[in-house]
Amino acid sequence: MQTISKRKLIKSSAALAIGTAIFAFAAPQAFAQSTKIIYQTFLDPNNSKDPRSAAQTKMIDAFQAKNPDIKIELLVDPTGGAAARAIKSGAQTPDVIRVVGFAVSEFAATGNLLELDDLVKKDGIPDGDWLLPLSGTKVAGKLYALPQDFRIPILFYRKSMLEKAGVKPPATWDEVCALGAKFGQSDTITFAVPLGATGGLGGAQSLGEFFLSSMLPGNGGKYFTPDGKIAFSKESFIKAAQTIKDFYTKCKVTPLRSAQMGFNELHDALRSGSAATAVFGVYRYKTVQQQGGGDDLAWAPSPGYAASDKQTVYSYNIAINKKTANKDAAWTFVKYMVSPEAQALAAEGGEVVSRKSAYTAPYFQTDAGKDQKQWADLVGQRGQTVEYTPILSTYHTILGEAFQRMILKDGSPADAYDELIERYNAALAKAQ
Amino acid sequence: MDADNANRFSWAPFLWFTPAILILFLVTLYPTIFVFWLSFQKTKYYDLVGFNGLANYVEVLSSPEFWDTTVISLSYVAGSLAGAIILGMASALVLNRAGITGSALRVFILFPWTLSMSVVGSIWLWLLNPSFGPIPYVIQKLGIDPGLMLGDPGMALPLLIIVTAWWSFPYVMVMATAAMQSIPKELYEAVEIDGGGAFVKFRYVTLTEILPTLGSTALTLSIMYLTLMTLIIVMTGGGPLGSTTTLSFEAFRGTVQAVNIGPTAVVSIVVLIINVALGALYTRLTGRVTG
Repeated sequence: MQTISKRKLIKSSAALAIGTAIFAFAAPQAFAQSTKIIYQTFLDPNNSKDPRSAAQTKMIDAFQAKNPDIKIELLVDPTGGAAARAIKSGAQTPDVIRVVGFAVSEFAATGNLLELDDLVKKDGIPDGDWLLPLSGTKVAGKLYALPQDFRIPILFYRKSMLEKAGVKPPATWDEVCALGAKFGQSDTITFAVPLGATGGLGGAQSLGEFFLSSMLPGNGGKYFTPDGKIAFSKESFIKAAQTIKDFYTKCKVTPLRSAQMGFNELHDALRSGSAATAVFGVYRYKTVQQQGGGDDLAWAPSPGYAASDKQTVYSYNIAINKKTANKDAAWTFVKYMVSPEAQALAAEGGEVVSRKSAYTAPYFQTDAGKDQKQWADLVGQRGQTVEYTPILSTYHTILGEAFQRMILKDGSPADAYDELIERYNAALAKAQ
Repeated sequence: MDADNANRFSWAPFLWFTPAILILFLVTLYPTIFVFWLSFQKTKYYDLVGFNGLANYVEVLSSPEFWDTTVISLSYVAGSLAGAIILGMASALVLNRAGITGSALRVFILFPWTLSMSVVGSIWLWLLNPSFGPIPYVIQKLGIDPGLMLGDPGMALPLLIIVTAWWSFPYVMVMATAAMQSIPKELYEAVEIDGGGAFVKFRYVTLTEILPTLGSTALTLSIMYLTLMTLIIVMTGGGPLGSTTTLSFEAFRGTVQAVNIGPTAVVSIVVLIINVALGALYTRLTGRVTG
């Protein structure tokens, strides 16, 4: 067996120590050449079942190939809770976040989102190349986030059930009401209206997102003022509440069991076929189709008071943390993520991407891209954006309970309005 | 070793404990102290705007919603506990003398306890779904109107209690079985010699011997029920009409919404006080068991 002398061992140790010290000194210098951007996203790159994740990976790889000096590190945050806590507490990271449209005002109110107006102007990003004008994304006249996609409510329906009842997909709320007589007594929910609180970011988000955010502001009207005050009228609330109450009572299209439904139950009802029709988010269509809906599932534009009524849409936006230490690199990344080139890649994941010019990509000529192109056209024709309250989940909690009381305890729309106004104003006062 | 060495003060034991104390401080004491301090602050989102005195306490304790939530919490804890104890005791008694079959069945019965609460919630959401759930279907076939199940403000809490008891009764069964198996057979033989029947054996031997274990088990479960949220989040989201909103769920919702977390901190402090009281009781009881 070979032995090492004490002197040799000391020499080797010294050489190793010096080598380590040199490496420790030199390595940060070498790495300092690249800037690291932490990007918060709800899409897990390891989720092979979600095509949006694969599209996100493609986009990031393409960005890094173009910008070798910027390294993107993902912070996977499925609920968005990590981003909310970071922005609300003024943390330095993540540098770039994805923020849902109706939470932008809540995040902006913290003062921790970077204003993008000057950057967009400086880089000449055209205002006309978005499905809806960028001005609709602004909060109190300031741009804090850029839309990556647009999400419009659509009518999901089961073809076989509508054919059996001998009806066409309803285009107005009156036509929805008339479905009751055609479907008659049945175990199937003719038209589901979710008032429950499960799923989503809190409260009756599905009721707000799919119905009231369009019904209450009306065509081109306001939902909330920039400081969070309710901007819709009592008349529009009573009209909307009465319409929904009628679905449950007079029209008999919505059974009482729909009152506890939230996102999850609505999703399950549509995929299992226990609901014949429902207004739901466009972003769930392909999942519901794959999970049981199959060829029997179809879609149509969402009903309204009139068939051409505006529909409130929202986006998943990309925004920059104002406290980031890497503003320039963060902006370079954001600018790429909303570029037509990156948006064409995002479309392959199934999103209704936000840039008009992305729709010239070959993907939209394929069968897979056809629905997305039609949804994009629908956004352009009937989409509108509204301003939200900074306490949206509190608003949705109060709204859901007021509607549940109206339906389950046979209250009046006027009582529901009074309950909403009293509790919401008190909550807003405490938040300010 | 001489007397001088033995009496000399040594820092070494304190040094060994330092990491443990430090970790305990960072993960338990610091957050608790912070929440307590937060409860006296005026807040906007996560920002502390200034000292607020007792205003948050006055606001929370004077609100009728808080007392409704407290009643719901206590009903939930008491109902779930009663269900778990009855089911757990019954299965422990039945399986205690069932030999190998009993052991096999015990493993099978332990199944709910091994499931994550979100899975339990999802399974029961399906079972109770008024549109296609098997339970409302069977009830309907029996000629009874199943109603809205979790959608009925009057039924949601009792159903949640049933699900919680179903999930947690195996824990009671295991603890009770362990306690029963340590009861000396001579005690039962003494009752038999005195002419005592099955009821007398249960009342004066089994129950008397396992009562301390049952008490500490009940307290452990109470503490768990009081802080449990996952089932509520998955099954009802606190609804309908707030009928399943417990104190812990309210604290969770207030923190997630993060609009004004000062009053939410007060709710957390109330939960903490109840849990500390139960914990103190638990310590006394377990002291009785081991001492």
